[in-house]
Amino acid sequence: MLKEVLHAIEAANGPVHVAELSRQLGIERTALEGMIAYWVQHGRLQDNSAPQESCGPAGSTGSTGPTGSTGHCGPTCTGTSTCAFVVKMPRSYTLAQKK
Amino acid sequence: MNLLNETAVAPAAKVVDYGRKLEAAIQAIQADIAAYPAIQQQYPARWLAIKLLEQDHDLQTRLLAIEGGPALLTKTQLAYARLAADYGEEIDVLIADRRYTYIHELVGRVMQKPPETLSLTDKIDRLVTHRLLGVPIFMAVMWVVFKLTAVVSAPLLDWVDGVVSGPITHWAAALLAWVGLGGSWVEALALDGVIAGVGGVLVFVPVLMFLYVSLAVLEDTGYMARAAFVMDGLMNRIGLQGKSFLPMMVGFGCTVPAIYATRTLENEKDRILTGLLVPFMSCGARLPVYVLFATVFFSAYAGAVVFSMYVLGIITAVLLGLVLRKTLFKDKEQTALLMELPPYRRPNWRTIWSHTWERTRSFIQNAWSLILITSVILWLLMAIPVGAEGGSFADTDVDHSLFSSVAGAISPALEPLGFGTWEAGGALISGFVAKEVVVSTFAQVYGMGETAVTPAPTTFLQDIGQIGRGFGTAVLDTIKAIPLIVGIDVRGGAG
Repeated sequence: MLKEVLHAIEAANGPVHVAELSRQLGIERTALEGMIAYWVQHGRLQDNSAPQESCGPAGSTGSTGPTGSTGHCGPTCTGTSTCAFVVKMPRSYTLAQKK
Repeated sequence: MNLLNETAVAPAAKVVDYGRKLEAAIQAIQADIAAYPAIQQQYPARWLAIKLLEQDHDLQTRLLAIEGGPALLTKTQLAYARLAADYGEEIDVLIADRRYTYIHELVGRVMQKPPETLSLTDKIDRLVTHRLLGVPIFMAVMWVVFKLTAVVSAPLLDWVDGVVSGPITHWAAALLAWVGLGGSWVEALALDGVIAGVGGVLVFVPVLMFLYVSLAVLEDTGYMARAAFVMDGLMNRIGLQGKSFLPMMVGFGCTVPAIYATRTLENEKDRILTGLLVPFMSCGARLPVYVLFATVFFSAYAGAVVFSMYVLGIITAVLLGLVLRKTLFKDKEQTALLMELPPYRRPNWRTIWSHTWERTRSFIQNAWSLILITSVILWLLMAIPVGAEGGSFADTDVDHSLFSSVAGAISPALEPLGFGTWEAGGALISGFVAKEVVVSTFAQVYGMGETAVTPAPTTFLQDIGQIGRGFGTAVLDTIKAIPLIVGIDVRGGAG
């Protein structure tokens, strides 16, 4: 099951969304989310909306992507969580590149 | 879902079957555990055997402090190494995989799903994320956004322009005259430098507010996520890194955080390539510049021109990306992308206003800090005379100022780009500070050359009344301009 999820993402011709993958594999969406979280924890998938390590407290404002609150777009931290102009993006994952 | 055949499952008797080799290893470790009563008393043997095969670090640390623990760990490590060599993968992944498979099969046996029906979100997604229709739909949505920002917002832009160049300028002039500074260089600095410079940028606040409202609506309804999804597909099809489109989407808001967003790309080459392409995405700060030129030179087609500038940026980025991929970034792997698409929602106007206000406030703060300083510096450069015909400080033609001399010296280098005049070259160079400054530089350069037309004197209350009436008319004209998005002109007269 777990490996099927990873294989399906690898084999996808273009981006896939979670609901589509859930239908394709016949896995309940909530179960699929758990499997995705497992692969993120194991470093095989990378959560693109996770706060950056170098960001410190400013970057830890949320897990659903940058929301922007202070309007600061200057050269500090990653900028995405503190700049009001940033467009809010959905949570997304990419396959971690093999080392 | 309905629970079926509940008696078929006897939870107490069920254990996950991990497969022949793994089960054999688990049983061997259980036998080892039985040799160490101190460990056996604390942990259930099967559970411990599985956790040790999963390389549970916390448990390994605890075992080190128990009699027989280190010996058990050594044996387990040997078993783990043998199994890993046999299976060719991490055993903890294998164990988790077997558990998920077990749960999936169990759920399949005991639960019956109702026939799958597509939700409204699914139905809309089938259309807007369609491989062929997705991109044209995205382009159509963007077209509406730029029509709103460039055409529908025009009456409000004119109103703000009228307020800045009319009542605010009069009040500032009157105040300075009252304190005895009328006709002095301070008045020139305040009117030609600060108000013309900062005001020249602030008049675009309605334009930006329309853009920010549009973006907030797209974000709040959930469409922005689909736009990212669709464009990621396009990027992949033309051979670019799909994930790179996320920083690029951020780049439509602001380039600086977009460059920072490339940090989410783990491969250095991806980061460099994306960083090179992100600046071609037109950020919000460029919108005033686009609107200025589009309105001046293509007033009837301003919306189409602004939209095409955005599209041109995307096309340039795509073409450059393709060239770089075939030259400097040949060996770059593509990575698949998995995205969560939130369900569509009715926009929450409170959230939309909050996002719009945050962004507008940031823009205004920027105008009052960076653009103010730049405007004052530009004014000083324009106020310092050069040559015999230059006149005196703050009383010189801008053609004979230090600014025209410096910009004139640089402009030949910019001539191949079409910026051969000192005015255009100077504005372009000043844009390095902030893109919006291009607008304020033009406002100052051309504003200083104009002969001021003395308006009929008005009272403060008359000015306030004029502002209020102008706002009402602008709002009405804005509403009338909405059908222009689809090419219908209901304004009558001037059209």
